[in-house]
Amino acid sequence: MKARGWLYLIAATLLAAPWVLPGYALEVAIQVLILALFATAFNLVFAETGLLSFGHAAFFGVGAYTSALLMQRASWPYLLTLPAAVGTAAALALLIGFFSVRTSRIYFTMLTLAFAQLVWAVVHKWYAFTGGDNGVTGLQPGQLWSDPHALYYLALLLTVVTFLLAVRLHLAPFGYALRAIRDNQARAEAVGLSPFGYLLAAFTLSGALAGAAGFLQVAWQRSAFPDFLYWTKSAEVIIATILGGAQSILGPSLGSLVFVELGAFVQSHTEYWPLVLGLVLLGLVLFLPRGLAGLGGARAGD
Amino acid sequence: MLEIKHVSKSFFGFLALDDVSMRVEKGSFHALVGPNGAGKTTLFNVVVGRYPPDGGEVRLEERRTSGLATYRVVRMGLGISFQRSQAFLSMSVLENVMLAVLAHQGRSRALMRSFSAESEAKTTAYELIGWVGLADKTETPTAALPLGDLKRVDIAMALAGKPKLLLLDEPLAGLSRSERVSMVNFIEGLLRGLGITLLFTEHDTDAVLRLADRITVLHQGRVLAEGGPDEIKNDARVIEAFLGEEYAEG
Amino acid sequence: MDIGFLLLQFLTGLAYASSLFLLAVGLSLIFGALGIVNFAHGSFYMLGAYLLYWVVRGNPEGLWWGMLLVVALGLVIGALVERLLMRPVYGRPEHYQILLTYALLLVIEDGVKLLFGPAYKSLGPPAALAYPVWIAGAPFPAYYFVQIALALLVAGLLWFFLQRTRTGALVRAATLDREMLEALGVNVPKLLTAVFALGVALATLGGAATLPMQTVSPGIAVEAVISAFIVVVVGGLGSVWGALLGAFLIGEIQAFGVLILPDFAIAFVYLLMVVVLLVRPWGLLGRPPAVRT
Repeated sequence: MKARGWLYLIAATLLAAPWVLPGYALEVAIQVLILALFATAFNLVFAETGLLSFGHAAFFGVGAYTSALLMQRASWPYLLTLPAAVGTAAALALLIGFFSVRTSRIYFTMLTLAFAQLVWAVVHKWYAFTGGDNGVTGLQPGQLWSDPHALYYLALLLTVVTFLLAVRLHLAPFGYALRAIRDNQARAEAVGLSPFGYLLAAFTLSGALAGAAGFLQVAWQRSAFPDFLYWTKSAEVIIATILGGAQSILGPSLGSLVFVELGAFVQSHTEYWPLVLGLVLLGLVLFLPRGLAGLGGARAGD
Repeated sequence: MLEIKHVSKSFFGFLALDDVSMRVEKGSFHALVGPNGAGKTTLFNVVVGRYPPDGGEVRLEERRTSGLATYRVVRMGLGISFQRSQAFLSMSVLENVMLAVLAHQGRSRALMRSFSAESEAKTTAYELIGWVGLADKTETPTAALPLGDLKRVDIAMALAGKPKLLLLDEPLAGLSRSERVSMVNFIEGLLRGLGITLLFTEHDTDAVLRLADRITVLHQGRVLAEGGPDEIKNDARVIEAFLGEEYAEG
Repeated sequence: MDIGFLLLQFLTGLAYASSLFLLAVGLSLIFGALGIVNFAHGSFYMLGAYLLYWVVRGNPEGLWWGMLLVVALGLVIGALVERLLMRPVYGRPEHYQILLTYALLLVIEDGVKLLFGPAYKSLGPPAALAYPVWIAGAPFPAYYFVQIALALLVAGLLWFFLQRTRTGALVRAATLDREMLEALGVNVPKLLTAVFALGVALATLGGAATLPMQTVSPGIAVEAVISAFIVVVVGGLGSVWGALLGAFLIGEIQAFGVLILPDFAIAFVYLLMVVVLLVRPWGLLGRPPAVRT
């Protein structure tokens, strides 16, 4: 009963936020939702399979560019670019995952990093198609989506769907199989599980959802830039996830809230936000290994 | 049931298995023994598909298994319990066994069902857990189990697929004296009752002589001798190569 | 395209490779001995350039003793960072180590900005090296030869250290089996501090050595660390000779890649990294993970 009470409170807060928050704070709130979606998607792979992807920016960025280029060059309505953004991100994740999920631990991390940087290098230099380092700018997502209220609700919807999907996966036999592979791959094979298929499916799903986050970013920024795919963007989603606590299903969202809000707050006072963030992370790693969710004693997924 | 034909395997020029052939008959308890480094673990790993053999082949009920991935061999009817038995340590006993049941039924890919609502698998898992004597520990996290119980979980998982042949790699390793006795009784009582064909490796000579109908002795990567417990016990070469030192110790 | 032009391009690639080697070899040593992927490695490289600028007070003639001083400072900084920050995370899952070194990257980048200001810094080569050498009728910066010589010197000294000294033998042993060293009674924590300090000092030297040819800003750290990753992944994590080979390949691919597809030379480099990771994940000269029998 108590848990249900909290749920209603959170739902009411999320739904009422656009009507309470002043303009700038609403923009920040949308950014929180986008990062929360991205981090929840990333954590599908990280928490359930134990594989640390350093290439998720590629899926975020490719989702964003798909949406941006379809609007700019083919005049698609913004909302219609969502399935395309998710689709291309999924296709890229399928391709990168096909080669990467067979490798283990540090090699997986390095390989996903290398692939993502390869995609970044192409986007960054292919002026004729992507606009190179100028990015795709001046996008018009249409009147409805230029209203931050509408965009907020769209971001909220997609983030909630992603969150529910993550919970669904965690509780389904598929999630148990992923964690079995994470816990002990040899044992998992010995009960007849084929790790490759499971890991590839999880990686592709995660990449597809990261593409949805990129799709939202385009409307928020009305542009897409190569920075969306750079490795520091992958670092950002890792930080948000671990900051909140990867072992808790709410951790990535909580981490995103703190990351974005703290960033907005610090940046309004000083330009040295990276320094503050760095010090926060040092403190986190050295003194708070389970993330913020660990503070409340929250346990994995329940 | 299981046929190992002329299997060879070498690592970095070291010949771990040299033209090994043996047969495991249906319904038998077959022991694979030999001193450390004789090639037992390597042969085990070839049978489960972890290493492809350099030469020769392995067949399970006439179907070739060597060179296939472990999970494929398992789906063909092999049950495996590893020497260093580790369960899925983030899960309870029940969840471990349920997952094994679901995996064998091909139902572990489901996304839109809840694991905990898989009542059919749960019933089967309870039965398996009861067989291995852990009925009072179904909800215990496996990370909190002593080694002897972990091995039982491991065996329950290996039995989940109703295997034609069960492989046990050193089921007694690391167990205390009393745990050993109960494990031997357990293997004898349960597996004989189920009519399971068993291939196992073990260092404990007394346990081998009590459990096995047939024994294959490996020495330096070759089959040194094969026969019933009485033949092997009295085989001069075997006594020299292996049993001798054990008796001398005891 | 005549042969002189190709030679010039080759030498340019070699100069770039030299700088990459100094940048990456420390990363490889640190990964080999400590098992830590150091995302702050490029930051130490960037810091080295700033430290040089600071100790010579903008005077290019101070380059030689300035570099020595930077190496000394690098050793001290590396030892302090290892003692205070790295040591608590040994044995923890990799992502903590990655997070920690990434935090360090952020702190160093902004710290340098605070101390030196965000503007680009540059320092020309010493007067004696300020004029180009003419090769095949084209000008070639004389300072590039210093960089190449420096890389060869460092490679030689590292070879001597690792192959011919007792401490070097222990470092090599640490990349193979740390527990065994402990069992032998070696003071492993001290050894790890020394390796980390050495790795950091090499990075700062690399950064300092590029300052006479290149303007630096705090932002070069994030690019440098990726370049260093590519070099060590291609050459083999933990292998000094791998870093040498990796740096050479990448330097030359860059130099000749721009002739073929000017915009996508960097993409070739990432492609090489991907291919190596797929075919030989442990790198060209790395050691494959042991097979358990």
